[in-house]
Amino acid sequence: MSFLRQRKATANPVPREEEEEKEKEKEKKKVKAKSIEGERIKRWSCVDSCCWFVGLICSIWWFLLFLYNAMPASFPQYVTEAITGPLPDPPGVKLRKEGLTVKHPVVFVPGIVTGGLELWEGRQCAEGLFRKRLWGGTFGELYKRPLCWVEHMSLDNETGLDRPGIRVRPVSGLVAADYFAPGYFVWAVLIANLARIGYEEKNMYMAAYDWRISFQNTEVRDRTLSRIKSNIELMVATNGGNKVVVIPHSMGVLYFLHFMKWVEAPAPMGGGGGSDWCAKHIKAVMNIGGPFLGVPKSVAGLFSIEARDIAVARTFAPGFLDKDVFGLQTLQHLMRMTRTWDSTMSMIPKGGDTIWGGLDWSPDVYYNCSAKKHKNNDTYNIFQNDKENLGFMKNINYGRLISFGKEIAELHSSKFERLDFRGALKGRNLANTSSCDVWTEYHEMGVEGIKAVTDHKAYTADSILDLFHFVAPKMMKRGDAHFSYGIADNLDDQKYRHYKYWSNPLETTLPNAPDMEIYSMYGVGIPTERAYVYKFAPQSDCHIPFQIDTSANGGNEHSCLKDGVYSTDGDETVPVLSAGFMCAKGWRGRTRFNPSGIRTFIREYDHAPPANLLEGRGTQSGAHVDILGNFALIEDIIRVAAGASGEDLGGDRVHSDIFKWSEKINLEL
Amino acid sequence: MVSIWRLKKLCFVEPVKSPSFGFESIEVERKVQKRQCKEWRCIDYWCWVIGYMCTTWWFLSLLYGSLPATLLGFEAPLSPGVRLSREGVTALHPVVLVPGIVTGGLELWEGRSCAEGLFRRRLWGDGFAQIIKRPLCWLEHLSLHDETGMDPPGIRVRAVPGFVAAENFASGYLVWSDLVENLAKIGYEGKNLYMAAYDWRLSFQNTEIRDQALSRLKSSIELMFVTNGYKKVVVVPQSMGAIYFLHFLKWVETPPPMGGGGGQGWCDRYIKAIMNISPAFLGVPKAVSNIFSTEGSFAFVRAVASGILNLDYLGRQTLEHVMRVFRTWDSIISLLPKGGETIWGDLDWCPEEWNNCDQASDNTFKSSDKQKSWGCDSANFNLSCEAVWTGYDEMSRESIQKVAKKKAYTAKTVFDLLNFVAPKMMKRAEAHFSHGIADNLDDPKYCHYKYWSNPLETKLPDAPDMEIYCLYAVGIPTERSHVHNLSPSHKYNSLPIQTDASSDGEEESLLQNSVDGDESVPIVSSGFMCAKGWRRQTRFNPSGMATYTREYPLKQPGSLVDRSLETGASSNIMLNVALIEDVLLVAAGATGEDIGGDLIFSDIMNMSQRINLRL
Repeated sequence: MSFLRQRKATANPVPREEEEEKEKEKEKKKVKAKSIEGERIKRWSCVDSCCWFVGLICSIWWFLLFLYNAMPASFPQYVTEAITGPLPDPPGVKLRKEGLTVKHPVVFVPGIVTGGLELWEGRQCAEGLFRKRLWGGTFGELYKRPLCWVEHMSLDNETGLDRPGIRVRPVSGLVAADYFAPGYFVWAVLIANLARIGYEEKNMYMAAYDWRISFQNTEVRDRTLSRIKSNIELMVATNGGNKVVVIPHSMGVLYFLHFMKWVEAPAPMGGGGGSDWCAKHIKAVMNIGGPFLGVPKSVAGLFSIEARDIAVARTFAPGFLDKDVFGLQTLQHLMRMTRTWDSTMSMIPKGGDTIWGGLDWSPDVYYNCSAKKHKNNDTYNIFQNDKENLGFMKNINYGRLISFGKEIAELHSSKFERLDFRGALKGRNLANTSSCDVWTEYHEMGVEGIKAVTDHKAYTADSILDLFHFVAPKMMKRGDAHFSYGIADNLDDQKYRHYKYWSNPLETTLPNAPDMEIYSMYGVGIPTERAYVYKFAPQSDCHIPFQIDTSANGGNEHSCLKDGVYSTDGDETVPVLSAGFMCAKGWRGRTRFNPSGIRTFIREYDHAPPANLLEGRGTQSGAHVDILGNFALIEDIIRVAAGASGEDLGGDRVHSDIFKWSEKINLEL
Repeated sequence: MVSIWRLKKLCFVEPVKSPSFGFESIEVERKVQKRQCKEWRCIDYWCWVIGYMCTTWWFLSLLYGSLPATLLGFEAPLSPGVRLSREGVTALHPVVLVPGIVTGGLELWEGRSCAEGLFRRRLWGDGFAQIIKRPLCWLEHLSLHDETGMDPPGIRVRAVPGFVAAENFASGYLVWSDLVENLAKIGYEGKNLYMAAYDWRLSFQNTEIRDQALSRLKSSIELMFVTNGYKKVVVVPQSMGAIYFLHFLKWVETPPPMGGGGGQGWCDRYIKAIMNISPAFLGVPKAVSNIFSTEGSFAFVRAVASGILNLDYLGRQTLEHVMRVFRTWDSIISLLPKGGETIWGDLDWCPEEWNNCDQASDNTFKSSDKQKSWGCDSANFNLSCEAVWTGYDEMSRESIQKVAKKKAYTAKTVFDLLNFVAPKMMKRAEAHFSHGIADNLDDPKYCHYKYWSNPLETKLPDAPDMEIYCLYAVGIPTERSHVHNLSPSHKYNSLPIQTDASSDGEEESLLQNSVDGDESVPIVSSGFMCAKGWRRQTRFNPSGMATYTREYPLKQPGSLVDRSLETGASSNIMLNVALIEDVLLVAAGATGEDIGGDLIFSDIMNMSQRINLRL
């Protein structure tokens, strides 16, 4: 329309004024046109600039990906070396130059949570996940369908085995536990170094097992113990009769202890290998970070599914974990899931008050809980000069694994009275349990029950068991069938032939294999959870009624009480006492637990944090999992695998006070 | 699209409109618009297109993901595992899977400096990213030692063990995963399912010497037998796995220095059935590159093997390099045709009479008079030798002419040819494999391991209860013989005898005569032993164990939708629903009679009749 009008306008001669008017009109038009265009460009931008942005990101991503793929593989190493100076040779290379080669086949026994689990049969919601990893790897499914994931990872509440219609099985082969998540190595560094001196798949074996179920059940359900036995026999036979070196890590230590008893026990319950099977097939057991006597961390884990990490996270982000994230009761779900895992009960502290200390004493006294290293002389001086501090140290009662309130934790036992909870009636359900999606056994305890628990005030290793029986009777019923936590009076008693005692070093004898060697290798120098201060958390119905009292802190920065957790020496998960005691005293020489006098060696690795970020998780780390990348430890393992004995390594290597502490433990040997 | 239009309008339509305005204003506006358009053109436009595509893709995939399967019109057929488990079929016998050639993954354990950072990465299988990155390094690490047929010094490449081994080859193509998934549906899992991965490049006996693969297999079978309530195992080998397992059967009963020392009756005690899937019992008259393309699930390797490799990739004679690597692999020799002219026919006759066959020979007469092929079988197997060629460089031009002049080779003479052109390789091969027919099976020389993998020179173990199945596909023309031209290329360092049409477009250089089969293995090879050689009590099968031949008609690989969606008859036998069902049923305890005995579509029986073999 306007076009036509314009033409007319230019075609006809028009008076001046009109023309001026036209000019004005034109101006207006121009403005109008411009504004229209502007609008257009704007409309354009809203979708298109979005596309543009996405495209830009995609292109950059591809470009970077291309660069990354084109990058030579040695580039990161080159950068690291440029910054930190040349790295030391990895132990594999170093020892190869010394001329070490393959001799003994190697068996790895992974610990709890580090082994991968994959789905073999699932419910509707897990369609398309056949043989995908549910545990380990990227945990992609956990984010995509959390409820489905929890459902599949849980086991049956009564039997501790598969729930109907769900089969989750361990991944087999070295891939099962070489990396836990992409980039987070577990065994990979050790495997790579062993390969340098000539090891390969045929003389390395990953004894992967389903770490969720109790040890005997892995045999009942998956025949895992039989497989391990058959594989060890095969490897010994095909490697010229050289016995195997077994390297268990973390819970794998207990699992292998169980295996050694199982394999020699007669057929219906055991593997029927005969009483000299271990002597014939095993050269050495090199336990890494072994929780022989349990870990206090598992107490907190079972009691209220929190350890220091979660408790601290709770203080930093109050409400996040307690709030129903996405409408799910996260912690409760986790708790329900972990409580169906029998294996967690294998790590409840064993040996009771004799080992872990009573209300007013404990074998281990730690004097440096600051994150700083021993090497720092200042720290030492402070402790040596400061009497007050020493006085304060005496007040730590590690023996009370759980105390309700900081005062209770510090008072002498004569100064408070405890009410027995054992007889306490469990009240009716808290109001509205039905409204809770998640069932935890706490809901059956009722208000009275919870009060009774708090009134008892302090729990030692012995009474912890009673506590568990009280708060989680169903779980403990399963646990009692598979694990035992006591100390044997008479090891020849017939009852100790039952498999539930096999994973407790205080209730079994070692096999009759005088040539075998047992190593206990673990990190020291990192504060490790030892005891907890709890509080009652009176919240709404569906919550776990107990929480670690994160407000409980020690007097100064060197205090061992931090955020409601008492720390001691250890590798961040397993305290020295648990990892070292058996080799330092319980099995040292010829004792009743070690009738054939198997030699034991303690190798401690002092923790040194990585110097910088590029070093990754460090080559001198002493932390529970990172220690598998510790060069000194790898070197020891390779030497033993290549034929060295404990004496060749230099016998014991001790940094902590483990021998002193072991002396204090009054255990009949 | 709308926005593209809008963009165009902005740039082109608007200036046309503007003549109505004053001259200056046009200029100004144009400038403004030009600047805007320019800015948009260069990078932004690119980004925009990419972004648009990405977004659309995401959107569509999201839609696709959220659509229930039933809405798409065709209801996904119930997988055989689900169906059978509803019928109450559950796991009974443990199952052992034996992969064939090229389907197993290989990973690096120790390498030269060029392979740094590849420790425990896949060299074979899983994407083949390394071929493209460092082709020469890759070839160097995959080749074996020229003389011994074992590792070259400083290099250790090993088979990937367990289920990851052959499950997804060149990710996305299913070799075993479909079968494994269906087995899992009826209750199989790690404890009663085992993948016998081995290094398929080595000769069979060397897998034991180097990796103790046979010992492992034996120990696993014994373990599974015991832990599954003393139930015998069902073995499922595929293609070359079938002869590997034949080797194992003999090995396991032979006393220790050479064998596994299981003693007489081991097979009877532990094995219920052997279900050979497209077994290559009598060899495969086929180019190795073609073996790759079928067995290794088609597309990728085909692209690699014929596309990339034939070009002089990066200026290197890639094909020659590849040949040099292949010829160090002993296992390929195990696939050369066995039984000579008795089985495969000579210049004037062949056991098959199939329509395609005659047509092909007619064509030969018409189109190529340089070389004449008679019967079905005349010019065959040059391909196999070509794949493992060694001595071309040493051969003079004349001798090449001589080879070409002889014109036709049969299954027997092809070995002379091989000995002529590749003496080194054949020397190695003769220590490990034999390709003849035994006159007297009781001759003590047949105790040597080199005869174990040849069904015509060994007896089956003494296990009357065992069952042997030959399961294979029919209906796809399979190369049987080849017509070769002397390649007119004057590049002396290229292969003098070309077989592959795609490699040389100058003239029609390949004619192949096809017979019935499953694209790589002709039915004579996979079916003859079960149809005649072992049928009832023969001298090859003294205990008279039952044999069953089951054929599965396949469709020609056609449309993409074909992939196991329609009737279950897809282009890949490992996805064939009927075959999977049979395997599941036998694993769950059925016998050959229960699943219907023989199932035959081809004229394998007639063919076998025509083969004159003393039984």
